[in-house]
Amino acid sequence: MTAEGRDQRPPRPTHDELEAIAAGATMSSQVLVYLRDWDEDGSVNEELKKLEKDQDFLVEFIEANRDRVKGPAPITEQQAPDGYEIIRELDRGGQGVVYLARQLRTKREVALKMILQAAFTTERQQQRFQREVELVASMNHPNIVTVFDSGTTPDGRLFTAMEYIKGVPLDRFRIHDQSEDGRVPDLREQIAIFLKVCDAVTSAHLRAIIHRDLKPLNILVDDEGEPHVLDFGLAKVVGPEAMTDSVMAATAAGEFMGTFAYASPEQVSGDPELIDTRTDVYALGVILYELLLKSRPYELGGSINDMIKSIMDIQPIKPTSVESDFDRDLETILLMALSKDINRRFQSVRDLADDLENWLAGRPIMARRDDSIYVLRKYIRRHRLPVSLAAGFILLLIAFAITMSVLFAKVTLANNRLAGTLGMASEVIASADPENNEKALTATTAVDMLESWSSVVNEDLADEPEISIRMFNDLGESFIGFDRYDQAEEQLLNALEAMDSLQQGPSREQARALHNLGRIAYKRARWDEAYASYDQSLEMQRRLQDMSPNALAKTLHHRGATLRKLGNAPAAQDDLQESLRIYKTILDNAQTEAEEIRVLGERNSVLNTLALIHSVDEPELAVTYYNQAINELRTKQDDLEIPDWRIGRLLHNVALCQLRMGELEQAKASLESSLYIKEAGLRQLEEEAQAADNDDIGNRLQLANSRYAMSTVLHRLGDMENAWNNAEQSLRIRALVLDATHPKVLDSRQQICELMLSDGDVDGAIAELELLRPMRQARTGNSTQLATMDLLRGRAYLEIGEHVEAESALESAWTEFDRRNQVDSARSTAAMLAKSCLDRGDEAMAQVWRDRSVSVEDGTISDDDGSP
Amino acid sequence: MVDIERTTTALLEGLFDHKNEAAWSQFDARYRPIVVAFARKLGLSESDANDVAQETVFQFLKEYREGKYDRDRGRLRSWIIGIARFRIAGIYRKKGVKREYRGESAMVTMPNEDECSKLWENERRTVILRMALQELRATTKSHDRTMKAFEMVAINQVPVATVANDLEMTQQEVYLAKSRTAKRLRTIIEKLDETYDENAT
Repeated sequence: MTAEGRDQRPPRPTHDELEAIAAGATMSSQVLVYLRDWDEDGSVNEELKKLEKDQDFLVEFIEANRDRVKGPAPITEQQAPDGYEIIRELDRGGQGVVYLARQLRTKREVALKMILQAAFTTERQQQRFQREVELVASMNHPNIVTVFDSGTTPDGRLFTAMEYIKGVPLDRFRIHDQSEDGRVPDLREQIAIFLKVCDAVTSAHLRAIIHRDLKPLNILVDDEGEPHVLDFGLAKVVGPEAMTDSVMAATAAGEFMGTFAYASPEQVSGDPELIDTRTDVYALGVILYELLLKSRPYELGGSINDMIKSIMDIQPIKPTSVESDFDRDLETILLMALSKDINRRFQSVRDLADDLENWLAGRPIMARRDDSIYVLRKYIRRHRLPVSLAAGFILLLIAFAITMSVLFAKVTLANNRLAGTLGMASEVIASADPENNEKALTATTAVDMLESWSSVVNEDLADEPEISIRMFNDLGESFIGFDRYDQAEEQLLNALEAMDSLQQGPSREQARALHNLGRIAYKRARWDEAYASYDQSLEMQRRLQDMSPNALAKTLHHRGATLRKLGNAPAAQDDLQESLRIYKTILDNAQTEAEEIRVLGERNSVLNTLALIHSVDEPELAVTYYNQAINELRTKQDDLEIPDWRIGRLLHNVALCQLRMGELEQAKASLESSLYIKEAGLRQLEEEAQAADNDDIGNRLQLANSRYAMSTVLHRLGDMENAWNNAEQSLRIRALVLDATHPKVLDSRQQICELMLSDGDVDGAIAELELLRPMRQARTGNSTQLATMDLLRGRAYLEIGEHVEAESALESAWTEFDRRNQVDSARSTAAMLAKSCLDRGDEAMAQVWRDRSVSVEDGTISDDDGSP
Repeated sequence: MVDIERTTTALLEGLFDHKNEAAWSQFDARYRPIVVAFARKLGLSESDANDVAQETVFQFLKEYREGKYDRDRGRLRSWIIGIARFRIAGIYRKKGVKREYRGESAMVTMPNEDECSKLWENERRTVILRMALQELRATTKSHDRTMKAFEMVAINQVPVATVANDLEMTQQEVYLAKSRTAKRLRTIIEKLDETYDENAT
């Protein structure tokens, strides 16, 4: 007990306070001090303990009886902050509930906003909230709603008290005239009001306050036509990240779509570092677009993936496509505000406002159109190189959380039993990263989150199949994205089971679940199973009323690829051709450039699979498919300097076909182009530092594949120096990222043996091959790869006249090739055996082998298959 | 309604008598809800779970009357769980066949005995907590202010000040009502816990 403490004996905590603390409210420092230093007889501590025990028991009790009693009181009925008296509820939504209240001290009416937030308000969050509110309260602008006060309610929730504005949201404002309802403001009037909003936002920006959640609902227009911007900075403090908790909370009131519609690409990127004042420019752009055109710049809908992709990728519908006589300059201004690229936007709200004023005054505008090539280039840059996996999925998770809470919120309206789940959802989000930068969301924590979601969906949505089905499907797809096939399968089966229970017959979601089960089987190399799933999915899709051509084409593509793996080339071709035709139709009717690019990408992948079917037996035909794919990609590529990774892969495959046709020079040229593209692409990834390590590994391995193929080609062409070079580079990359006995590493080491053989270093080659053989055998057992190695060993022993060793190696190679019906390889092995027998004078045996032989050819290179 | 004065041991004795409807329905009232909840937790639909519960209780009765239940084979709980698991596995199998038909894996894993036992324990607790509310309501006069205050404060989470105002009580009285009723509830639950003595033979 300190002397100072003795001087300031705090009041004995009231029963009221103790009850609140037992129920989870934060303890004030006064109570803390009392309990620690002043509770001489321990009675208060004991009382608190008893209350806590009661509380624990009651929580359990209420939980068990949830559906038998009226649900927990809505947040509205809970306690008002000290010094306020609630008059009535004004609005529910955004981040919480807003009441009309009276501040007792000043007798003035205020809007009291209680922040809807689950019980994870930490002391630090409260401090941050206070700081931010103080900052906002320091602003004094006629178009910004003044904040008077803020604090924590007795039960631990945050609140702000602000100026009460009698007004309507910006998009519902009407100008008074003789008519009863007033009239909609005309274009110039809309812009005039909007300019005042811009002025308010600019004034906040000058104090380094970013709004982050601008939307018509946050801009109230009073009878005089004066806009008042609400909730400055709240998005930042309410949640650790702008787009997580604030949106989460908003979703509870069913405003999810509303809030998401104004989110900028950098906001959905999940990286709060990227958000700056230009984020508000974007939101203002959406608001103005909607005001002037009565529609949104792009539709948000479909699966979570679709929604994020839309915000990231879909270019706004041109205003002139909505209203053909829309002013072109105004269109340019809107599109510039809505640029996906933060650097191509107006760099400040002031700039946007200035240009609108230019337009109003009939002066030339400053905004410039994003030329389509530029847009395209940005798009391709992002998509041609495999995008960072982790980044993409963080978005997915956040969006998933949001959707979850929306759906839960919907259910809650009808079913009180689910009331608690929203809080749980917030907990998952909060546990992902409250304030802890150390614990950034990695793929592992992402999977953890997915698992948490799974159990929430499983346990709490068991009685809501209509909702859970989509969630299961989304979860399944996400798990596939992280290569967690077991979990993915479980979710997809859940989806199917839930659909069974509904007994509504075939549906899109059912077809989707089956398609994804097919993907899992494909990834696990269970071709029969994959085929069955794709087949059922297709059959179902064809019976659907609202069939999606995109989904159909995709499933056809996948079934085709599976048929290829099953060795049924004709059926595979049928599927792939049909898929191509459907994509063609979609392409012809494509509305936006982004859609064209996407469909071209899909076609590209189908053409690649189609080519692969023919790459061994009819390499000429395969090359025509590859070229078609390359040409299609190039039609959408104006700037040839930017590497398109996909073209790099296709060229690699073309080279392999050319190699099979014996067109060595052409193969070399193709590989050179492929290598050029891949290396430039990797450099670019490094510069942009956007590649997560895992992606980088994948890209590097593809580069190694081309180096490997290049070495083979150059070897054949007799360019030993460069063949060595390429082989060593390939090995270096593979050895760095793969483990020592990985087949690809062994391939590279074997390639080096071949080069050694050609250089006359037979002993060296044999020593290395004898070292490699057991590794290969251990890894793959008897296989084509092992046979190929034996063939090489045989060749090496033959060079130094070791006939016994040579023939033993060659015979085991031949047996394997023959067993696998690999005619060409078997023949060339037989030819070599014949030569060995002849060398040692066994004419009869030589004849046997000669009969089995024809010509020598190589076939050890793997194609780069763009398997789905 | 569960008769909280009758222990399970007493109940089991009554079950031997074919004509003892009361014992039978009492046993059914006690255990069927737990089996239903248990089966639901194991992924069964509402109707499947109800079927399983009915069959399980019947099967238990049959085996019990045939004298198959002996204490060496384990506690009452494990015996019922055993019967229920077998039934649930049957439903899983049927579903599995449907799955195979779709070209999927028919494998569904059933939790092991320990997990089942834990699950059972949870469900039993929930059922008891629910019965406790029934019991509390049944044994309280409907106009009892104490009960009303408790329901408003503890269950419906109405602010104490409002409750006090509505029921014309002081806040102190509301708090008292809450803690008194909580205490009563606790007693009821203890009693119920005893009647569910699953070590009974």
